[in-house]
Amino acid sequence: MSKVLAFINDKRVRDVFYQAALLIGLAALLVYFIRNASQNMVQAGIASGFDFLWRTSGIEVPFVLTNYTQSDNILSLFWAGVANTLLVTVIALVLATALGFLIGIARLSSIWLVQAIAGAYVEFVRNIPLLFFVLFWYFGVIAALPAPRESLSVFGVAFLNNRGLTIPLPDAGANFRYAFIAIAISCLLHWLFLRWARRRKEATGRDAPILRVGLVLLLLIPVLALAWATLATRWDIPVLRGFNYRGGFVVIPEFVALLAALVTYTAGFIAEIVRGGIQSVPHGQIEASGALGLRPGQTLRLVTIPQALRVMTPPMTNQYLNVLKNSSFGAAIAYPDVVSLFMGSALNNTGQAIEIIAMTLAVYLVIGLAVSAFMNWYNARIALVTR
Amino acid sequence: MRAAATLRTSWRERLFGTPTITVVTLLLAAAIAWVAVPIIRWTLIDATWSGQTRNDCTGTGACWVFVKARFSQFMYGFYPAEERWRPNLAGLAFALSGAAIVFAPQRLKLRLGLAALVILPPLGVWLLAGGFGLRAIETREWGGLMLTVFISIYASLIAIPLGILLALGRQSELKIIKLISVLFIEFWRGVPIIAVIFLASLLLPLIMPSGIGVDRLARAVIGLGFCIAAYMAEAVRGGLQALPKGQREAATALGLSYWKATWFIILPQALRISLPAITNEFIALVKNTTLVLVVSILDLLGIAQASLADPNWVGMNMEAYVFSGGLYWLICFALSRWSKSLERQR
Amino acid sequence: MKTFVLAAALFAAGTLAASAQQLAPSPTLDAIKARGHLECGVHLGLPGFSFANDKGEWTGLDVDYCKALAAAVLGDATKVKFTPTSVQQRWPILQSGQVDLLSRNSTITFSRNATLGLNFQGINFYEGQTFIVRKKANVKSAEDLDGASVCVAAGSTEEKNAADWFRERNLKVTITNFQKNDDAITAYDSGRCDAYTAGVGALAGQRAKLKVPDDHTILTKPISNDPQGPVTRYGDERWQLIVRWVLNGTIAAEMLGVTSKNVDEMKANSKNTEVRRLLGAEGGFGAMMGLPDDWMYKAIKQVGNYGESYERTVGLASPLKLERGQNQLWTKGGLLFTPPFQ
Repeated sequence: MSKVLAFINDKRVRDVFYQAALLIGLAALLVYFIRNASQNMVQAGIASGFDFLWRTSGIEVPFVLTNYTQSDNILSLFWAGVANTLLVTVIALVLATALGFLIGIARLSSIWLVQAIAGAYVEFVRNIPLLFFVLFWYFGVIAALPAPRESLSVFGVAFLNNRGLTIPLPDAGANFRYAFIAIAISCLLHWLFLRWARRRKEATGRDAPILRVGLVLLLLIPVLALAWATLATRWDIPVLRGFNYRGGFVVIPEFVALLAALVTYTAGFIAEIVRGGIQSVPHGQIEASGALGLRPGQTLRLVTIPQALRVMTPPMTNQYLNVLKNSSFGAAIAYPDVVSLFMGSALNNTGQAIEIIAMTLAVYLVIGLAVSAFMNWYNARIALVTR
Repeated sequence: MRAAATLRTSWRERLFGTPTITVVTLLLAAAIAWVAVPIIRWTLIDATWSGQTRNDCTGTGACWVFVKARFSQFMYGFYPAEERWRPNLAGLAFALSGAAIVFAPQRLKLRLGLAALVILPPLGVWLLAGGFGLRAIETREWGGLMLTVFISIYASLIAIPLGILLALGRQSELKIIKLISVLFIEFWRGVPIIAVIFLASLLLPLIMPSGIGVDRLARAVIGLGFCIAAYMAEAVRGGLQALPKGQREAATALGLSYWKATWFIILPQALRISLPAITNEFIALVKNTTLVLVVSILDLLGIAQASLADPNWVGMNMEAYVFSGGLYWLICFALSRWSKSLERQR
Repeated sequence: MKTFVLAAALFAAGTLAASAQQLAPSPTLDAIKARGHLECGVHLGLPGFSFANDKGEWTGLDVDYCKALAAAVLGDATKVKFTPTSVQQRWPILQSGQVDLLSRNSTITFSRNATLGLNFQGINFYEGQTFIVRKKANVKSAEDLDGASVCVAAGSTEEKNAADWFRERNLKVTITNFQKNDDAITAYDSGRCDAYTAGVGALAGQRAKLKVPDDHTILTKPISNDPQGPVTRYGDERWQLIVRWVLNGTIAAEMLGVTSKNVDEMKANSKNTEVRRLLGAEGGFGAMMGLPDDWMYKAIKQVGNYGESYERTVGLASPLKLERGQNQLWTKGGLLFTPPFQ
């Protein structure tokens, strides 16, 4: 008897028991749900399986990066949506980070009015649902742009109107490919040079001409390469014919509105993270670097920011993931992202809700995991090395 | 005395301290005027305030007549006019008990809070939905601000307890429980809420045995609640991690069981630390309630959009959005101030 | 021997069925009777077809059909509740049993019928897809839209129709797909698109949502046929029968000259056997479906026949001012037709 009691009271036994009970309970619940679902679906005569992916989609998409056309299958439609989601997410990430840093630093400005405006912006932006931003940028700002006939012309080659921004498109991309390879090589050279310069400084204390080399490698070579490619390529310049401009590439207003909404909204959150990060650096650090003879700019670059980044990385990761998820708001304004194309149009044509929602969720989970993994790696790299 | 002096000088210093600051201040002031003047003119000076129909909107500014005509809809949706005392009463009950808990003496807080948690949610549902002596009113007639508040409160009633459990699970030494918690949290945090609400509205009826329906609104609340629970779990985890390990070790050494130690020692401290973070998640929840309009539930924004479809009031988009957006801002701003003051108390 | 037993059994079963008026079970009908009201899925807001005013009262052609069905099934046209559905939600809501039927100007197509588990129970509106354009754009027909951008509701038949139609004619048209009709029309009104495409009837109703309706014109020649009608799930044949024949009944009533005004008099005095069967004066037709025999009498008395409903909601007596056109009875040059009540 006492043996049994001891057995029951053994913590390890209990732990195993509780976990097993939870696991079995969850599994039973899952099986129950799946059984109900399959029964209900058979009863309702709803088709299931992934065969629909190979049916012709027939849906016209106004903004595609892949080579999807209306006569391709639904799987290609899915990938076209994923590409559009990625595009708006990546560009919004970069721009929101830049704007967020700007506003975050402005909140700590020594000029009172700058500080106040940045503060007001943050308070305004953080307390309004994102959907309002999306609707505001789309129906408020973009729709206020002129009609095609009254387009705002940029040097007669690009045109801005309420149908979007029409930009010239190179007839052939070969020259640009060479230019981008050249730029990549010069960036690589610059990175190698910086490493060499730092090593040498650590070893001998001598400065290298970082600024001059940097200007040549990061500015002069890219500008020259792009200029050469631009001049050497024939361009498809948009012209006004009938209703709209023909030729060129159209950046649709839905993209611009969604991008603007994501950037202005997320920047408010990033600004707070930046401010928190900078304020988390103890004041003594800044005084100490001043005492060491560093100039204020150097202090910011070499002392404050590297330490602030450490505090900022985890919340920034969350914001980046939010941008990815929030890009689904594009569905509200007809931006053809994966939610709008796949969970909207394709779902309606096939009616296979479960398969389509599962695939859509998987897209976000996979991309989200990739972003998290990258940010964790970055976080580990910049983490404080304690000895 | 000295403080007053610094304050006075610093005012001038702040705005016009050096020539550079003066120039920047003046430029920015001009920019503010350039943006603000048209906005103020539109919302206040040139706006139409009185009238009955679209034809009374003669001013060049906003036509607030529209909002006036639709005001009760923005607040209650299609909730029957003679029954509107019910949501009012429910709101009052929630607000009063909230205030009572905040201002109660420390030793009563927990008991009051628990009592409110047991009594209020069923009371609120009863008042709003009816039955048991009250006229039954279906959720399809609910709408407007009332619905926004309802969804926010009831979704967080799911999210906060579940979030606490998940946060504890994530800290647990039991491998399987930890794994399940982590998977749950990361799944819901990884997917867009717009898809979750859609998923809940489609999937819940499918996975139930046929014949058992789940109310449309309940589905949205459950979907949002699960999603926000994952975010709440992360907020609570911050509080748990901030506690020194010694707290639990000491409690265990005193002979307290896991749940007793958690309930009396760990949670009270952890929740106090994470209260600002929890409030921030609640603000996010309030903002995310706007997404229920993808399943045709008319919350504040939804009812504003629906009212735009009325042919008698064409072109009132700006008024509808400014009014509803302003309400959201007020609610969220008040909450965020409160969360800041909590942070400062710490 | 074996054959004989089988034949005898069949015979016995046949007589039994005939004598006891055994009806196939209808879970949907039972559920409606138990809950005391009909659940009808309608469009979110399409003036003329289904539109809720600021008091939440629904009106429209599709709404009227549901009211007639409620009157036939429950004896009271007010015992119906409407669930507004977006383009995305409509099929799942019906499939998962949240509504008893959809009456939501949805087009009947082969693939919907074959793969979605849905049956279409007849046609209450012959719709044809066309475009609304600005008058100053000087567009006479859809062929003139080369190079234009067109707004459309995503997931609708119009989305695919338009894409196919322009591609077949080698016209370069940009199509922007919105999740809701209202968003599409707002975008069109704000200048995002040169045209907005939907059915003739839908356009007539939505035109009122434009800031200056008179600046726009609806192209007269439709590019497609979009017959629309009530939709039910697969299964429950008896419920499908009821949905189908209430619709037929409202059309038959117009054919036979039965209106909400003269229905009492017709029921009492008409010598026409079809009228008498329709109104339940003879034949016991309602009982064959498990309904009271005065099912169509109640529907017509309370809601009116198809023509009355049409005039009131989308016809010349309504703000939409649509001619009957294809939606006229076949005897008067239209397409409306009903099998006989025999």
